[in-house]
Amino acid sequence: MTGRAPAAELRAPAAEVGRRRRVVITGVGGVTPLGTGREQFWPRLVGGECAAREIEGLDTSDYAVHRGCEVRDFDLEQVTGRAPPRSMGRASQLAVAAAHLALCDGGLAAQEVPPPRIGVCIGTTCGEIQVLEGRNDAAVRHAAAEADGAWLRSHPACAIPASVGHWFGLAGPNGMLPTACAAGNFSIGYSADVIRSGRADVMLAGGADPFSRVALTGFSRLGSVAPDVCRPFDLERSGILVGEGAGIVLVEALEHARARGARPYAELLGYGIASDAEHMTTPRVDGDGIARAMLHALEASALPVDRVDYICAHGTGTRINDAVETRAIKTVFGARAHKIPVSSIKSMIGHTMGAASAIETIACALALAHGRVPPTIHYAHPDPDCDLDYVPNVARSRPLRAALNNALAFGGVNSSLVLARLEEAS
Amino acid sequence: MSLAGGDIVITGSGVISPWGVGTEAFAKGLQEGRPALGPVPGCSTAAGGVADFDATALLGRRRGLRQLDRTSLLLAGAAQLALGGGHAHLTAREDCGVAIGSTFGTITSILEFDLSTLRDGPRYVSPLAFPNTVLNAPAARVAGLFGIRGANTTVSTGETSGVEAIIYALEWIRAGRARGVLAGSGFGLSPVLAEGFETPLGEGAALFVLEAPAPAAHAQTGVRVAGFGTAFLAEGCNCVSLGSAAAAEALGGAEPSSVDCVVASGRGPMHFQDAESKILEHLFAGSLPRRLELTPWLGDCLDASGGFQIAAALLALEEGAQSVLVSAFSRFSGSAFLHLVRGKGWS
Repeated sequence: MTGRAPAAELRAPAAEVGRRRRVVITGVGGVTPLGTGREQFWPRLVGGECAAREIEGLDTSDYAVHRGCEVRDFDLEQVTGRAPPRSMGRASQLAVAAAHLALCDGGLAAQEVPPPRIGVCIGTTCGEIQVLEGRNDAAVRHAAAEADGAWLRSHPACAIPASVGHWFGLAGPNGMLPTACAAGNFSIGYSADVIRSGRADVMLAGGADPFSRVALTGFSRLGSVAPDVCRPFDLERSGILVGEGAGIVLVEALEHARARGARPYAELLGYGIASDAEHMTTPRVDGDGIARAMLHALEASALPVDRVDYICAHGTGTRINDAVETRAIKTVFGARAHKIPVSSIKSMIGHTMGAASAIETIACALALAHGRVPPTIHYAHPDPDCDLDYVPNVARSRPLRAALNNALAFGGVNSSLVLARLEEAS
Repeated sequence: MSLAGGDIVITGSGVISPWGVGTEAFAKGLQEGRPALGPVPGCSTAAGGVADFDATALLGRRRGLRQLDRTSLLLAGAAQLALGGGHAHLTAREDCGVAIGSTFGTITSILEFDLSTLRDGPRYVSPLAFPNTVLNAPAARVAGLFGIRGANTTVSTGETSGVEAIIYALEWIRAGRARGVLAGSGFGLSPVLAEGFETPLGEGAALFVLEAPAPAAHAQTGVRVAGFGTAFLAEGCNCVSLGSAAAAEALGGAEPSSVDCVVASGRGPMHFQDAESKILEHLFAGSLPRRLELTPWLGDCLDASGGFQIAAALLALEEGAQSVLVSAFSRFSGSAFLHLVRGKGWS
């Protein structure tokens, strides 16, 4: 075991104990169906481009639906300049690429931070699902060697943050929070907690999920997949489009960011989580869980509700989710709900599962930094049950003080994350 | 991370292990040092199965129970045991949460759902089986069964999941996100997983009730969580130094010589398999306290390992130890340490 430096010397005592440490996002990295990296992703997002295509990675001839949002031509070596080990799964590769992009975007080399002071927290829905599916393909073909369970023991979900930790040599907290479609929010929120409590100064946080046969099959059987495009909040919405990707943000203690001259996109003020504790696949009709998550997030952020200028909705495009989320927003914001722009970027990139709320956090951070609200595209027919301002089809420019990012998940899990412009938060 | 003054106590536990159902069965098996490995239906290799486990005997005939996979059933049973001992005040609440360590436990459900897709065709798969394929299904099932409506999460860090879930719960309580948390870990065996590992596997679940501020009675007599520490043993780093520092962090200001017992995991990262031994030797400067290890008796219980280690630590405290260190390692390079001590008034 050769070391870079004695860890005991590097493990600095928590300097901020007893005082609330401020936490900021200083870099963003996305590998998304709309493009890789901020330079590709953001202009296409505010340009209202749609990433939905015929699915290429899977034979869909036996399915009733054939469209999805894949990341085409992804090559980790092209992104990072370094070839991955042969055994590294696609989820890990997507996460490593996004982490690399976040570090580059934030102008930070991982080696600049003592290893125990920089960690990783990533969320997912199904982890290295393509490895499991590959094992089944082999089992059905009676290819015994490939169906060997050794692949199962080498590729659990925790292999994703472990791959990031090994790739960059990070020895701080290393966690996987697989809270399905809310996993990105959970991981980013928890990373902020870890920094606030003094356990780390920097975290790479977000979510990753590769395209999955299990997800396509499952959502198809629930009747939740749209045949053509995803139309959140539209009267004629008919479901999600299964997608894939990774979103990682560079989360940093404000004093750490300032000391190295970094320019934060936004401050992470707080987050809230709440459980419906009812149905596995359907949210509570009264929106109680997501409303409580938003209220907890606002309370944790000490942010008056009138400072929220943008809500990045979970907005899956299913009949029930969009109506329930709309109801919950009205419960929390009252009459002001109608004045807050609410948009769903899933209309453009599909549902990237465990990566979704991480990529949406990136969208919120960039929206705050640029004063631009991404649109909800494919919006044509107002629904009386969804009667808020969904930023239809065209991005909007306006100064933004704070944004709220909602994410709901299977299991009745609800989450909400609050970000603010740094000058507003201070 | 020292929790001195934080007064977070463990006020309840529920354990289902290859030694049987309940903490008494676990204690008896541990005291006797009885090997629990044997034949398990459907498995071609010996394993530590929970024989004759009957969820309905613990939970009653509840609606939807038959939709749960084995991991979720074991965890639901452990939850019933943990909450049954006078902790009904934690259920049906918005300020209490669930944090469950589960990494390998849903793999069997994923494989079965996908195999059905391949064999029967995607239009004929049961949609009722789909929810079990998400990794947070067990935590969500437990919350649903007991109406726990606060924070709910799953922690997947491999064999350290149980200890990491407790750490997660501690962070929630410290941050004011929850007043009480049901936390721990579980894993349900299946033939495909039993045959996929080189060593015999075991199964079960162990859940604990963490509360703060400490209920008055337990602040005196319960088990206090004194501190925790974690380190990721990244390749190329000085792993012994990193791990020792994390363990020392868990001990806070306490001298390693004050630790009466270490409940060790008996494993290490793939790139450094004897990391735990080296780290503990370094921490205790060669004079190791009593060391307990469960794998030789129970098999490798994967996600459930951390929960069982904590259950063993509680027993050691009950038997007279004042201070116990739980040392958890995963083959994916995670390490997590938990320091448990007797409540101040416990004589």
